Amino acid sequence: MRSVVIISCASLQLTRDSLVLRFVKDQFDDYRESTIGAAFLTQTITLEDQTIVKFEIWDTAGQERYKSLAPMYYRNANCAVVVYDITQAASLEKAKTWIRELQRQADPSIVIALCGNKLDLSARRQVTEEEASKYADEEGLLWSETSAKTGEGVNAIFNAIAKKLPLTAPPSARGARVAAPGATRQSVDLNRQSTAHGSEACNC
Amino acid sequence: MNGIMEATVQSLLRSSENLKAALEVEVTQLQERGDLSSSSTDDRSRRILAVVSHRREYVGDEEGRCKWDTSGSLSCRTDASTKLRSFNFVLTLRSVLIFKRTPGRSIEDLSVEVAYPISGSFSFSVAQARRKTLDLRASGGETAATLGQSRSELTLTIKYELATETRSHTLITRDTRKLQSFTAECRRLKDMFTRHEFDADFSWLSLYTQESSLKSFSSPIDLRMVNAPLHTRLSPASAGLPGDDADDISIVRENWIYNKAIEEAFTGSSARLLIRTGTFNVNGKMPSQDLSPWLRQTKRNSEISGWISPLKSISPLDILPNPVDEHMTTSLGASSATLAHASLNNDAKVSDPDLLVLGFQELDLSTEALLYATSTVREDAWVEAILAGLGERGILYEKLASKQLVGMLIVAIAKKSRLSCFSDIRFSTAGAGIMGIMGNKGATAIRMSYTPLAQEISASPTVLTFVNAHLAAFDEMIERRNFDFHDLSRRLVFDQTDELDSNSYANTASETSRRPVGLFESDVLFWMGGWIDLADGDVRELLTSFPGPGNVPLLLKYDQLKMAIASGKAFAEFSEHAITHMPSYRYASNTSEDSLGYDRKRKPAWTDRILHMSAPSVPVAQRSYCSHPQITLSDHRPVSADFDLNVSIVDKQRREIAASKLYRELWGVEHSSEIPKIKLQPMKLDFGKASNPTNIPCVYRFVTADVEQPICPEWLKIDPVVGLFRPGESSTITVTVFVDNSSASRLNLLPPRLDFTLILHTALGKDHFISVTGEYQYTCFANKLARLTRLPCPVRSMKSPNDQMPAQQLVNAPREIMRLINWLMTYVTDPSDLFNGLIEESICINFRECLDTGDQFPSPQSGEEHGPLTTAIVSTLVQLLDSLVDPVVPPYLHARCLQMTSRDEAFELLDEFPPESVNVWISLTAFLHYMSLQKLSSQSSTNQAEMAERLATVFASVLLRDDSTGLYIPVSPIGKRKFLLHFVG
Repeated sequence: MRSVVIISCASLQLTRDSLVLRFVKDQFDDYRESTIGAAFLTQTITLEDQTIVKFEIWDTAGQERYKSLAPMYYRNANCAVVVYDITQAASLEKAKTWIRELQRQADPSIVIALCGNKLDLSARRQVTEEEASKYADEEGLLWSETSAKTGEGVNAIFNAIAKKLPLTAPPSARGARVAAPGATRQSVDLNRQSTAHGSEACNC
Repeated sequence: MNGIMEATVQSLLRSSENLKAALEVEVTQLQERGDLSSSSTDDRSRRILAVVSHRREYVGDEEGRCKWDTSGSLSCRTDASTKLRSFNFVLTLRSVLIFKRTPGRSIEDLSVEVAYPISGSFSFSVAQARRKTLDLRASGGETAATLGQSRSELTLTIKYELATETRSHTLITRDTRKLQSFTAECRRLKDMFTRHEFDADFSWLSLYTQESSLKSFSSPIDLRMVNAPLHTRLSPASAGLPGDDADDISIVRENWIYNKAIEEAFTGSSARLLIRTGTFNVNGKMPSQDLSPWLRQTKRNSEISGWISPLKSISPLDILPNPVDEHMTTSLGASSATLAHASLNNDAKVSDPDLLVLGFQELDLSTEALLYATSTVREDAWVEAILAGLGERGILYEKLASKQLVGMLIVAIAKKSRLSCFSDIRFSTAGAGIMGIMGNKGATAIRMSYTPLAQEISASPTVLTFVNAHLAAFDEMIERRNFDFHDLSRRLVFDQTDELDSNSYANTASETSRRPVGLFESDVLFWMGGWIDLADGDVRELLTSFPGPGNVPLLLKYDQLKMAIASGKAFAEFSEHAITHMPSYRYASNTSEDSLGYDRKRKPAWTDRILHMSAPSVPVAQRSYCSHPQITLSDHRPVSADFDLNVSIVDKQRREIAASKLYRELWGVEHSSEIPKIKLQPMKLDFGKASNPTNIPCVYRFVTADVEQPICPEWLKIDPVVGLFRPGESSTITVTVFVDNSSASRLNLLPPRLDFTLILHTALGKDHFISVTGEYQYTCFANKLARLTRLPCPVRSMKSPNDQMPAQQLVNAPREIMRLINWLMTYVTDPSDLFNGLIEESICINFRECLDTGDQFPSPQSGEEHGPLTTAIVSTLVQLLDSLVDPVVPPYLHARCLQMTSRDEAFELLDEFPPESVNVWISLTAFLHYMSLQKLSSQSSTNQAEMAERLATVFASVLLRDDSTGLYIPVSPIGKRKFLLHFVG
């Protein structure tokens, strides 16, 4: 069992909450109040090779106002999911700022995933798949598009992350500041094949 | 009745549990033990047997598609999103209320005795009651009646196999119909279990079995713990690192239940218990004098002992301390003499104490005493002397307990009418002398339960512990003494006598109730004894030159015990009343005595002290604290202290019932699949309310962003920092901006924008960000003098804290101080005006505002009374001087100041003052000098020299304020005044 902490740093008032909620509880709630703070959730998934991965997820707001607190949440994270809204071009720009900060400040072994949400509203799309995936390629990020509303792609991206994370578990999930275990410097190639279908990867 | 029974049982269960069948039974085993009184046998053997099923919901959607549960086991069957798991448990009737035969209530007070899962290990059998056996087991005449109706009696035997043993219960019932439905239900559930063989998760059961693990009320919680703020007991946590939430939840919950249960069981009335404590080092002497002054309350001990009443000298100009400072100073014992005096005056209405506890040290100095500490001759003699000393009241009292360890004796004497209130008396001794066993130093202690008399109910007891300690003497042994304190407080333990709660006859005769209890596991703890010398300062000179209790608080600054308490080295949690009596040691019995009667060879010292600490639930008021110089038989003088305890009468039974109910209600938060949520009202500064909209209880706490940082900056106060809501409840968290001198001194140097994000963590849930913003208004208070001289404009008009004039343009002395002095020089003609009248806070605030903004001061209108304005200005001046980051005279010069013997010498020392101080000093002393020369109004009784002295008293302590860093030893306040008088007089 590996224990992993994930933070999703979203920008603007996205339905990022529901992304995590969809993943953990398989719920979607249009009317959820926007969060000021950081929510903590856990989820366990079983990969195809029967490896069990436990996620401990800190879901934190990307508001400028609370930017100074974000490092407290990602400093221990093995992975960061930065969520943008495919219907808002500005949100990708914000996501890029966050990614730059993560690359600069976070633990070097952190896996960064870029996630375009609101795939269900693709008719109003402002960010093209090409644009985002090109950026992700350049920066060596995982990338995928999801819909928290329909659940499309949600489990897939978490599965992809689980596969990507170093096999060695951090000494303790929480508490210990991750000291880049074994420096298993991942070659940050895109893992898009597995996410392309957006299918439910977790039959039980 | 049976309908009630089922409803009651169901009401004990959580919503996730359902009652399937219930059955009233009697236990047969208990009779075998024969340890029950026959009158209660019938009620006590009654049980209710219940089959309860637990419904566990799995998260799944309508199509029946499964999701992972949090433990990762995918055991959910696809045909249903929920499943049932069941077992039974047995409930005990526990309440004494049963005896009153109020069936409606009796049944409410059920608690779980034992619970077994209906699994493969569970089995049961039913048989006809074997009457003969029953005959043998049952006791006496009652059985005949029972037998008469027992035609349909059946025995039900329940077995449960554990790894090591098989538990079995034999129960008797007459209700065949219910027995049938009970057995049918058991059979069905067991079948279900064996057929499906799913990995039954009976963890929910622990709620009902672990209930007994809830910290019982059998022994009070450690006082040190109960007095510590709750958040200090939680795991360290910060943003993103929530700590051990599950553990924190249980700490917060236990604490909450403990308090809430007491609150719910509080009868609304309380009992008063008066305790007089005393400590006396008798120096090996036998009682040869009347002890009555020590034992009996006299009005105004201070007058009898010949001390002048404390002067009210400086009270009109007393600086209003901020609340924090005041708290600090009282705990340091430096609260003003007038306060202490006022509380002593309350003694006017004296009443006899209910309990006298007296500690003796050096009862026996003979060397044999160390070896054969068996004789009670001296103890008897002293007890006799005590009863004799009580005079005509003596017949009202009786010795309750006593304990001697060589030279140390503790005696408790109680009013006969109250004897029945004291029970469970235990003793402990610990030697601290050579090898820790020789007993020439050490402690003896008595612990007792005080149960207030209450009608109808049995009140919960309050545990009182008294320690009489004799610790290492002499200045150089401070470390040793502090060590002894910690050592003794660890080693003084009381063995639990086997006094089990008469109701807990069940097999839960837990080990916990037999474990020895520590000293601090009390509700109120008194520590009496002798041990402390003065560390520094020439006490004798100070006492001789300024006799009178008024100066005692000042001298106590040098006191070692106060220092130990302040530094947390020993007695950290204890409190001591302000001392207003003269040192109790060492009096000389021969020619070597000084003018006050003290031994010339030893520094007079307060060696005999009485300290106490108490739980927040038991308010303790100290009514007196004094020494008794009339009793001269020893080289020590006895010391006494009166305490007034206000003991809330709490219904013991109701408290326990309430606790188990609350526990049941709040259990399992940490295992819930629901995420705790709280709703915060708009995140304003004082953001009214937080509420819990969910179905599960929620524990919240404020956490820091980073482990090294505090939860909030020093200018914010949060109350409470930790809390618990039940579902649907809401509570108010108050965030207060609080700026005192120390935080102002830092804020004055920072940009004016205040901005902070508080993090409110809900255990196992979310971190909420609450932003606090504001604008700080700069003030001339709490700055360095040097900074004030370089301010380019009134402080409030500054845009940035860095605005300052170049060094060559600085003003001679801060404008703010000069403005105050100038006002006084202009308007005050009669110096006694400075002290007259009350300080009106609103006028002071106005003056302070004028200083900060640069606005004109209000000037007195012709014909108007100057008094209030003058007093306010002087008060503002003193406050401004007192708020300076460094006192006008830097602490490193204090010792030098005191060495100055003449006016000329004193003036020469000014060269060594920092430049900004010199100007302030000269302006102020010039003003004080001018004031002292003014003609006093005819009706005033003070002369000019006295006026100068009065002015100097007030200003010296501010101008030569003691160093707060501990780098420089405080100097004598009288010396400070003398130095100032060189300039003023």
